[in-house]
Order: sequence, then structure tokens, then C-alpha cells
Amino acid sequence: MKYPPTNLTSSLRMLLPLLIGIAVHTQARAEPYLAAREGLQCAACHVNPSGGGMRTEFGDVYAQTRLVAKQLDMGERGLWTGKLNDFLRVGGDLRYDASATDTPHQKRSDGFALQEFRAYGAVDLIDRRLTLYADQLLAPGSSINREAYGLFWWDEHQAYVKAGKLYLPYGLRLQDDSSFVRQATGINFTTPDNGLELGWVGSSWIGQLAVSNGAGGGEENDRGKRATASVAYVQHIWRLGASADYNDAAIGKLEQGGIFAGLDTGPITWLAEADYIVDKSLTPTRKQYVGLLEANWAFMQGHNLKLSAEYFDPDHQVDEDQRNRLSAIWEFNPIQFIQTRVGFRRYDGIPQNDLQNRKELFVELHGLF
Amino acid sequence: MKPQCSLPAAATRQRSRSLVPWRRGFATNPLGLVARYCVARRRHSDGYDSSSRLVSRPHPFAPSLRNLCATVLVMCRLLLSSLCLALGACAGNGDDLDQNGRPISEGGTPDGELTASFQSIQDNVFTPICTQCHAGASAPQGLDLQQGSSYDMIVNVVSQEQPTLARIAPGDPDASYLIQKIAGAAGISGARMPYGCPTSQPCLDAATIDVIRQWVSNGALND
Ligand code: HEC
Repeated sequence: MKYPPTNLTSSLRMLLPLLIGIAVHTQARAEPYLAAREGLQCAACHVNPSGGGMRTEFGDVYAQTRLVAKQLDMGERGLWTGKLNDFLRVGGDLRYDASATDTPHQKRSDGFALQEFRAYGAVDLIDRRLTLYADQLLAPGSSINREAYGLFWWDEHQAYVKAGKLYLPYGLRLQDDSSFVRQATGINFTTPDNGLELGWVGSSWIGQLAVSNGAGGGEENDRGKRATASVAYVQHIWRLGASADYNDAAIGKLEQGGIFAGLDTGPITWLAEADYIVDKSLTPTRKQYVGLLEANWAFMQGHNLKLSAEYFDPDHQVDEDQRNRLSAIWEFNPIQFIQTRVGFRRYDGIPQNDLQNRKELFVELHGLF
Repeated sequence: MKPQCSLPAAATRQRSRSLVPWRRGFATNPLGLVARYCVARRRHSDGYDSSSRLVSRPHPFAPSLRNLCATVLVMCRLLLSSLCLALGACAGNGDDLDQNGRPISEGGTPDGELTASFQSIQDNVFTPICTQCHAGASAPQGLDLQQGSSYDMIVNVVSQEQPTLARIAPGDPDASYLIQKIAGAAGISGARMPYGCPTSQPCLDAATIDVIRQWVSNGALND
């Protein structure tokens, strides 16, 4: 198949036969603000209907055409859609960082580091219906599997079941695992668990229910299971959702619940999440509050300025122990497949804890396909 | 190459009903997808609003340095004040707390120096650094490093990532997976701990790792 090199409209038209009929099938980590900005559901751009990981072909086209400042001519080959053949699709994500961390009373630490190299693979055994999917972290360290599951869609392509090792469906699936909401809830891209997920992707309503071991991705160590659920109502310029998570573990139960929202106000897209966490693995039981407010400003084509303010109260019964974090990150997609991120984060916590008052500056080169 | 959006007006005006692309109607009207791109593109760059009607006034967020700075300031203010003032969600002043944010009355060590004893490692490393993630029932790899549970989770317990190794093998720091993980040894699976270091937080410094190694060499006692 040949794609006319210089005209997006016609290359998209050539791609449409591919796109039509894809139901779900590749940016590696989720950026929920994009979904909120476009009024789309996670499943539009990600193979994983609850978001994150490999993009769909639509997601690939979107990233190469809509996200970039300048779209380089890809010539005869047309746009990348990750498709190796009718059955196999691949994708990946490489993040390389230069960073400096300034912690009070400590020597400044700085350095270069390969933050991650993830590869995704999806085998579409039955088109639109049955997919086997894997997310493998190849570096740093030796390779470690993050997600590996089978995904089956019912006929109407609204309901699905997923079984295997999966990220749990809870809250905003933010790219930043170190955000307070993702770290305190313990549900992020570093903590997959083994289990089963049922999901519904309607026109406006989406929902997921997962039942898993509750052992943080480790081997099952008790009889209690973990149940995690999330629902959201998605409209063109706003969305509102709620999540709940219950882990019945031998060392103590964990209960958490929260609400999240997205709002698109022209060039600025807002995200918010608030959670309440009850951790009974400690005596006395610890009750925590955590929240995030994020603004994403697409101030020029290919650029995004992400500002976020976060709050964490690690024990509601203890006064004056709360923490804040402020981040400003400039994300620039100069051309397809490349993103640069320059960011600054300021942590603000109790004065006697140095780590809670650190400042970070980082430059990241992010390759995505 | 500048993407072109030369579509018939009718196609551009088409409002999609469903939020899922494959149900947007471009199976019946393949231009639907293209229309969506164009509308979205114009909305951000050319001053069209989301319904793709021409907005007669200039785009209020046209990129200029002044606009950029002003907006960033306003946004920061808005974010901070909504968090801090409206919600009362400012950082704590740490009164009557030890370095880990626990009340001094609980008997923590407010300003303890790191020594090769388990309690000191707990207070100076595990609690302040590792329990950001390794806390509670759902801790990564089932490894809960909170005060009270940590010792039984590590000493002579096999690693989930590399089951041939114990997390802590008393007397043998090189064969202790936890030590390998904090030192970023060559053979580890997954990331060096604390996860995300050195980008999102500092890695443990050589002196700290040495003290923990010393504790393991001394027999990894629960002291
Ligand atoms: C930001 C979150 C985070 C922090 C902080 C953190 N860890 Fe981890 N840890 C993880 C995750 C996620 C994994 C599993 C994935 C991996 O190893 O890359 C893990 C895995 C481990 C493992 C492997 C467990 C096994 O059974 O194989 C050890 C050991 C470990 N961490 C020790 C530590 C220690 C010690 C600290 C404190 C110095 C620490 N971690 C701080 C997130 C964290």
C-alpha cells in the first residue's frame, strides 16, 4: 500500500481502512489530560480499555499528527501504526533523564539515568475480539514483566474481560507514578497485580471491576482478595468518576475511595482527584487524605505546560504532618516519536524531614512509538 | 509539512455523538475522523471555537511571552491558593513530631544518627524513604517495610523478583537481594531502590548502604 507523502488528509484516508473496524487494539504511559482535552475515552487511544500502555492505531495516528509541533514527512511508508502484520502489533517507550535533586542538609545529587525502556506487544488472535497483551520493562536492571493478560471483547465491543497480570483500575491513571495520589493509593504503573478485570465501555459511561490477589504483584500470601472498581461519566468537555479499592489482607485491611474529574476549558485542561485511605495494617489505623489539581495548557501546537499542586495528609489523627508538592513541567513534542520534558518539582513537608523538602529539576528525553 | 484540513464544510460541521472513535460514525462517514482532527486543530491554533464557528475576536490565548508568563502566574496562584487557602491543605509545621512525621509521644527517635542496628535503619531509612511505597497490604512485591512488619518481611525471606535469593541473608550482604536493590547491583530485576532514584528522589548514598551492609554482616539481628 502506498501513502501519498505530503498530504495528511489523504494519508489518513488511506489509513481509514485500517482504522475502521479496529475496536480496541498502542504512549506508553497514560496521559489522562489528553483524553479530557479531546473528550475521548482511554480506550480510544489505548489497547488497555482502562488506559495506559500500548496505544491503539488511532492513538498512534493521533500522537503523530495532533501532538507534534512539526510533522515530518514519512514518505512512502506513511504513518507508524505499530502493526507488523495482521496479528502482531508492537510499541515502546524510552525515557532518559538528566536530573538534579537538592535536599536540605545533603549534598546535591545529580546525574543521568535511563529511567525506563518499556516494550509492548499485542497479538490480535481474533480481530476486535481477542488480544494477548504484554508490557515488559526491559531496563533499567534486567527485564521485568509489568502487564501480561488476555483481553476478550463481547460482540458489541462494549463489555470486556481481562485476565492476567494487570494495573488496577483506580482514579486518574497519571503518567507520574510519584504523584501523591498514585503513590499513596499504591496504584500506579509500578504495581500490577494478578487477577481478573471486567469492564464496560459505553458511549458515556465507563466502568471497571477488578478482583486480584492483593499482594502487590508478589505471590499470593493470604486468602483475602482485593477488589478495585472505577466508574466514570465522560462527556465532551467534562468527566466525573469515582473509584473504590478494598484489600482484605492478612496484615490488615486497606480501604480507599476517591473521586476524579476532568474539564476542558479551551487551551487549558484541568484534572483533579481526591482520595481517602484507611490503612488497617498499622495500629492505630491510619486515615489519609490525598489530592491533586492539575492544569495542562496547550499554549502552542506541540507544547504543553503542566502545572500541578498536590496535597497529602499521611495521618489525619496527627496534626501538622501534611505535605504538598508543586510541579511545573514543559512538555514539547518537536516531531513524531520524540518528546522532551523539562520539569521542576518542589516538595514541602515538615521541616525536620529533609526528603520531604527537596527540590528536583529534570530534563527528560522521551522516545515513544 | 503542515497538515491540511481541506474538508467539505459539511464534514467539518459534523458533530460526533459518541465518544469512542469507532462508534463516531466514521464507519459510515469516513470523514468523521478527519473532521475531528481538523476541528480540534483549529480550536487550538486558529481561534476557532469547539463548534468550529469562526470566532471574530483574536484568540485570547494567542502565544506571546507576556501571555504565557501571566497565565502561568495566574494558574500557579490559582492552584496554590485553592489548595492552601480554600481547602486548608498547606504543609504541616511539624510541631511535636519526629523526623518521620510521627508524634514524639509515640517514642520515635527525633534526630537519630544511622547506626548498624535494625531500629536505627528502620527509623532512618525504611520509614522515611521506603514506606513511601512499601507500606501496607498492597506494597510492591508484598514487601511491607513499615515499623513492626519489616523485620519479618526481609530476614531469611525469599525475594519475589529473584526467588533464588533471600531479601536479607544474615551474614552475607552480597547475597542479600535488598542490598543489591539499594546498591543498584548489575543483576537485579526492575529498578534500583528507592524506585525512581536518582530522578524523583536521591539514591541512598554509599555511607548509608555501608551501614546497612554492616548490619547484615553482623548477623541482621532484630536490635
Ligand atoms: C517510589 C516507590 C518505591 C520506593 C520509595 C521504594 N521502593 Fe522498593 N519497590 C518498588 C517497586 C514498584 C518494586 C517492584 C518493581 C521493581 O523492583 O522495579 C519494588 C521492589 C523492591 C524490592 C524487591 C522485592 C522482592 O521481593 O523481590 C526490594 C528488596 C525493595 N523494593 C526494597 C526497597 C527499599 C529497601 C527501599 C528504601 C530504600 C525501597 N524499596 C523504596 C517501589 C519502591
